[in-house]
Amino acid sequence: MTVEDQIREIVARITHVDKSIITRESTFKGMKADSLDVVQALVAVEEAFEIEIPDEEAQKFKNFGDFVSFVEKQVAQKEKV
Amino acid sequence: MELEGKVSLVTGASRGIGRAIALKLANLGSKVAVNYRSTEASNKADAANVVESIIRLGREAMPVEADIRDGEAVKTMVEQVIAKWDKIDILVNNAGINRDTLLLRMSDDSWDDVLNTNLRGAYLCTKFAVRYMMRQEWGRIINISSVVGRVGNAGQSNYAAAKGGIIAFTKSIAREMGSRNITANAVAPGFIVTEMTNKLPPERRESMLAMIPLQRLGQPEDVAELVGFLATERAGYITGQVITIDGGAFP
Repeated sequence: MTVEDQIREIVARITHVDKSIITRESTFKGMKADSLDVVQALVAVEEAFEIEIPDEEAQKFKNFGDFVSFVEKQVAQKEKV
Repeated sequence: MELEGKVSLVTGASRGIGRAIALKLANLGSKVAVNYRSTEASNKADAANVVESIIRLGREAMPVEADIRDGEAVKTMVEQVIAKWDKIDILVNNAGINRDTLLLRMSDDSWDDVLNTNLRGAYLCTKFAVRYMMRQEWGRIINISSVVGRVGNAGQSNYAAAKGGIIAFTKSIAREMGSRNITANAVAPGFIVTEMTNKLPPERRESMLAMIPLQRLGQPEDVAELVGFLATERAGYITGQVITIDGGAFP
């Protein structure tokens, strides 16, 4: 499973949204996620990939695609190390 | 059995009020993780004793050692419970210490020790346990405060600050977690007969007793009864509250 698919599964589970409708353009707001959903998703993704997503970075995510790109970069960096 | 199938974690459960709470939750059907801190050698034996008593009731129990001031230790403790029982439904933040002295004589260490154990410990345990409650959208957080956290007490400014902090912490997380069907309440005991209060001079006990309309000191079981209720489904609409249990001394 790709990083994107893994994140999609996590977000779908937490927001109770069908994963097939989550695209890179989807927003948390569009998924009717509240602030607690967002935090829960961030923590779950951090745990799944053993990375850290600082709040300052998370605030910059405009949509699901931004979230995925950030995590992909972190994961790639970790693998290099 | 109202708490059949539930998993509880009670901090500072080897003695006193924590012990009574662990036994009460087990009595109601819950599996119980009995936390203790190994700084005092007797705690391990006491915790083992509580576990044994629960097993004799026909319930499951496990001892979990952790210094709750330490984030890593708390994380490990919570993971131990998850590894064994797969979830945490009920968290009772009970572990507490006191280092009583008047402010002018208070050492920074006394202040830090009390705040770190009583307040930081509750924060850490809640932070790590609540994520499992969020996943299942059911949880009970019950924080043991003190009547002193409501009304203050000369000679206990550190303890009162920590216990007052517990109240504000409880109210905040009740607001944060309400949408996930997690309730958070504080219990504020008055004068309860435990090792902690047994250390007080007899004249203090007498003067306390004179203030209690019900004319007796509280027993750990009195507090456990209330905590047991708050853990059940019946208390599902109560959150963000501080419930004083003090024989009527400070209504």
